[in-house]
Amino acid sequence: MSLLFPRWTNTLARVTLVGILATVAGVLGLLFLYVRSPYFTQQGNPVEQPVEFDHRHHVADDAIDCRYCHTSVETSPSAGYPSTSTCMNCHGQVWNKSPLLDPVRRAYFTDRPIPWNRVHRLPDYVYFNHAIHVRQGIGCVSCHGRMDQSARVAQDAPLTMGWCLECHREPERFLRPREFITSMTWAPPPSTDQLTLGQELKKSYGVHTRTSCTACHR
Amino acid sequence: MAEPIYWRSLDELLRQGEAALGPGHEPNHGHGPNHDHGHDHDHQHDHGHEHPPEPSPEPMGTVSRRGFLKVLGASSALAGLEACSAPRGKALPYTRPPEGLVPSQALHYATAVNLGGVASPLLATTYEGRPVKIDGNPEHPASRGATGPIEQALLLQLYDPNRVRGVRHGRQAVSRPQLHQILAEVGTRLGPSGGQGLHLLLEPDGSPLIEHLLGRLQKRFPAARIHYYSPRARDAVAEGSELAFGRALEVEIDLDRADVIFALDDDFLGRFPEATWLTRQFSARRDPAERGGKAMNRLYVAETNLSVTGMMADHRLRLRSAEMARLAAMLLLAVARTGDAAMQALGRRLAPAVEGLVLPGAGIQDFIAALARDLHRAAAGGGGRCLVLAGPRQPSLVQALVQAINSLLGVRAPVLRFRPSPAATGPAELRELCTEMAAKRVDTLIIQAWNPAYSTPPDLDFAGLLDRVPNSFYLSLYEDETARRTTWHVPAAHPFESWGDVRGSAGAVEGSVLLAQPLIEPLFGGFTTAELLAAIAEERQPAGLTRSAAAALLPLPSDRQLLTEFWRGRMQGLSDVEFERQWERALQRGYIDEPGGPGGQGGQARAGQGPAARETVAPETLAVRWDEVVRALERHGRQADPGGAAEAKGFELNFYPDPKLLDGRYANNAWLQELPDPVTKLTWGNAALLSKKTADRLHVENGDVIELAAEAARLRVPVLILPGHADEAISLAVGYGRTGGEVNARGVGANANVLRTAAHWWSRPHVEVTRTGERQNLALTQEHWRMEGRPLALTIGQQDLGKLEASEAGRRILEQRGPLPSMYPQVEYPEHRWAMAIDLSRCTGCSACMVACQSENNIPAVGADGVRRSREMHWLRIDRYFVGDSPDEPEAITQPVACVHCENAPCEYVCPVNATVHSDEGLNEMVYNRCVGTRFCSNNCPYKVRRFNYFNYTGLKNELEGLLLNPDVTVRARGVMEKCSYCVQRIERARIDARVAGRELQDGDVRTACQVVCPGDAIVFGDLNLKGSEVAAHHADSRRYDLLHELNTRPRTAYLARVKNPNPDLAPEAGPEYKPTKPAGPAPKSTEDGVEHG
Repeated sequence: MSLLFPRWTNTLARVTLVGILATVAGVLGLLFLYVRSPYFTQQGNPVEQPVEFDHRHHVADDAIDCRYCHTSVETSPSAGYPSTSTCMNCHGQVWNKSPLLDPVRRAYFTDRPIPWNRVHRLPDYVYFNHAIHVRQGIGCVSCHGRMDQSARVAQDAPLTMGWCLECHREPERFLRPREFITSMTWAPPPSTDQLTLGQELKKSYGVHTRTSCTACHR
Repeated sequence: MAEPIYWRSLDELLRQGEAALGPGHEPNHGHGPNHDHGHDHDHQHDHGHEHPPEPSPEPMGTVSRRGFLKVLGASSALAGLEACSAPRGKALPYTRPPEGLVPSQALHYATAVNLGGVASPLLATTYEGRPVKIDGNPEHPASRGATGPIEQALLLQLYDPNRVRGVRHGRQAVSRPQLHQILAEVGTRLGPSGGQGLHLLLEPDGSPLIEHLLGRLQKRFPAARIHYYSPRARDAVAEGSELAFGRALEVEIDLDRADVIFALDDDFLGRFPEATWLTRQFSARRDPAERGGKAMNRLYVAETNLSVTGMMADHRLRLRSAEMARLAAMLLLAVARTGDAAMQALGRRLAPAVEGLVLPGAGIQDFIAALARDLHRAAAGGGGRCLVLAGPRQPSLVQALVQAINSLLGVRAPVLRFRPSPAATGPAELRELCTEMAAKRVDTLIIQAWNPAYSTPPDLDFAGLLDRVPNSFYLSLYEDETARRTTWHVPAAHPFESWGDVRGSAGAVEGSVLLAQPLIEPLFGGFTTAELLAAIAEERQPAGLTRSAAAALLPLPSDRQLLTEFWRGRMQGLSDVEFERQWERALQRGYIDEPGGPGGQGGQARAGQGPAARETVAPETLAVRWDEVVRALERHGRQADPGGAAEAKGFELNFYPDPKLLDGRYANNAWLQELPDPVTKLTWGNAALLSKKTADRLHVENGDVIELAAEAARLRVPVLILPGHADEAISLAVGYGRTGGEVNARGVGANANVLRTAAHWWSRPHVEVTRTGERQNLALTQEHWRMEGRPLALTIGQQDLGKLEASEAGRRILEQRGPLPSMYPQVEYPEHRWAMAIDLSRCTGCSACMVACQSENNIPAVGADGVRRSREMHWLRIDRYFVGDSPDEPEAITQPVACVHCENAPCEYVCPVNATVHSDEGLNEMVYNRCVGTRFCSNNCPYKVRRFNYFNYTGLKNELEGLLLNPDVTVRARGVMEKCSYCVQRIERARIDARVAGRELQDGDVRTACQVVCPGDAIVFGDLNLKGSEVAAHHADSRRYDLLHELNTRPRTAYLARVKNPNPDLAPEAGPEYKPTKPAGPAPKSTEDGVEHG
């Protein structure tokens, strides 16, 4: 009796089996890669805002400190969006007829908030606190990138848990002196390097980075 | 020596008895309480299995097949969208930020509420203008941060979507200005006759502002009548002192300096808000001297129903309510006879009147004799350091006898003080109003008292008579029974939306007034009582304007204006700036000093609510009118039916205000409905409480529905057997069986008011009881996750404290602590070691902590059905055990149990996904996002403190209810395990706050939600590594023991055994036995070794 299937079909069966497994593994792998990719994390994806606000201009040209607008960054979990009255502190005087600032004036005089679009959003089960990070020597630029070069704000960091833990495991790689917290261009002085300085700061600031779950998830 | 037996229900006690008989002995399933009637989960337990009952096959809600497929289709369609990133949403900053507000940082406001006439000082936590947590006001000496369960749960009521949202006239919506106009018209119509036909039905609230407005109202309408009605009427107390001293007086007590207390049917530890300060005073005296405490007090209780106070008693006597007068008379005679020559002469005078009233039973005689001696002993110590109390449910004779005893013993301030009694507020006071209504002489009735159509005695037929009132205005939060019968329904502003003032009651600072400030804008445009009264009290028609134009154009003063203007007027002689400064300061701390002290301004207000009420009367200035007392006793002797005859004519039915719902006004509050009753552990309903012996006589068991009948009134209610209840009597909580528009309240429990009359308001004799054959499944939390008869909640006699090895109870404590050998390496916790200690001696079981936990940690309520399936979500529960071998005379003990944060945690070993892990500080952490819901951890937890979220409770909330959630705590989804986290959000907040401020964490920086509100200061939390911390001292206490120590879980929560302070004269073998029915068995207590007879 002749074979119902020719011999090469054995190979085909093996290849198919391996292929099925490889496809499943590949799809899963791609999914894992996808959630870590900027496509998913939306890194570098500029967000449109109701007001054409330009950080580049305010930070670089006007040299306004971050904390002028983000007032609660040193005292509260949230850095705080500037209230409309903060905008009007200056724009009541300068550019007070500019059509670009129409929405701001409208918001101020009708007492309706400007509906800004959020750029950074952590999941609800993550409790991030700005105050403690700023206090312990993590600069704005470490997470938010070069705001002095961003016309429209985009999320700079992936904001994944792995990214958080990078720093929580080795804070010395990122620490800087408190007085340079808002500096966009600070680099360790040539006499030392980041790791040495970081170790010193870690000791003098009493940095206790924790990796227990409840440090961030409550 | 027999081991004491701990039991949580009668079923468990009986099963233990069977177990002792040996494995071959089968219980008689034909007649015993183990006879299974199907659904009652109590009966599904079999010989110590701790599995909750099988869920019944029908689904939770009714989801049709079609509905299910719809949801399935929609969710698979939406699943595709999830691949995209989560939407980032909008950010809406303030246009002009409020002063002092920092985003994501809490602001705290001092405020106050009035619970049926008694003020409670509070502190509210708000985030961005949204109140999320209520605690006691730490700056107020009556609270010091503690508060009761009801005050905290008012927060849920604030966000209740059931609240009414606008003024209604029948079915027609009415605008605010329209209502103003209507009220103005009422004024002009009734003005010429001086207010003839204008009646107000109010709840006494001790507010100077309301008093002032009523004074203005009466100036404009001299013929208007004001009636007061309150569910917590203390009319009998006033009548009693009238009888005893010839003067109507209210009682003010201070337990701090009372060494011996006898509470006669007085649940002073269970009646909030007074219980807040009374528990603190009482508990401070239950903590033996180890940490510099004071000498222990001794509590005697005589009561019908087992109460929170009864559970704390050192000696307890159970009696029918009608027998209390006899007991008080016996005690009066005994106190007189044990005294000096003058007292003995008085005794001879009293003897003939009391003789006929003596209760039979050697136990009672011994109890009375020992108590009288003990009272004298305490009184002799100087200043009368003893106190006899009678509850407001008891009639005037008992109140008079009790005051006579106090007077004999020379009890003085500060232990006991009197003040002029406020106006009578009981149901009898309504009679006059009802007569007027029946005669159609009431033209306009303004009702502010809560729901009189439901809460008044049916024999007055208040609800029916409302139809005869042409204009009735009702101010309330809900569309309840009364709202449906009044012509105008005005939405009330919630206490947390209102400005107001409440005169501090007992325990508050003398001469101070609590200020209530709103925490949020009125959500539904409600009116406060002050606004409503001001709208009527004021003639608002300036020249040149028509009436309607004036009403439309001139806005009525807001409650804030009314309050500040009133106080500005009261604090005369201050410059505006100085007034502002003092006012701001008063709002900040929550109370204001009354100008001029007692007897200041506003004395024109009638009804005894006036500032004169602050005047105190020293007990030593009052003389007992013995002739009157003797005559009253003789009268009682003639009326009282001869012993035993009462049984032939049915049962005595006692009513008591529900500890959670009060008179029913909080019935729509799911937190309170689901909070287990501190004694019965019953949720979502009430039941006829009766003793085992009475139940046997009626051949009923838990869940059997009986019909109570008195004259024409009938009520069907399920039975719940309560050990320690008096025989031949039934107790029933009021506040259930509501039929108003409140969704959660409707159909829960049975309406006890049906059986009440104005004359028999708290106790009704001769109630017929019949079995109906029906059964009802009670939502009890009692037997869930019970701990299998191990030594769990320990007690020890005070006499054994010094030498633990010498007594059985002491040895049990010693066995339950100390290191055990372990195969696991010892883990070091170098930084912090968070730990808790719970002092059972200070815990009364009041349940304030449970509501605090629920509020702090966003814990959902699951409903009656969920509780029946053992699915309640409380992270912190309070176990209530009975001790002793008698189902009739048990001791009771309460024990709060939450996750004890084991260092060797059994739950962590079994989790397949590492969702429950240990932190570097020893916290047993729950990682919700890793949890896949295997429930292995709960299965392996010996303390049964883990809770599984079976349904998406929180996800079903609407936007309004979402405002309630604490932003610092994750809202858990369905299918996730959760449990006590030691308020880790508070630890992390405190840590960050300390680091940002550049300092180390100190003792007291982290206080858990349950700890803050505990009136007894029973819960202590802190860092064991911190030298000198309070929690470390507690962990080193000689009474300290670990729960389930033999498992070597090394729990971080330590317990301190409850200390009992029994009277050596009343040794267990001579314990009170009322009509003994059981053969004399072995002594139930093991502490008799140390008893000295003296």
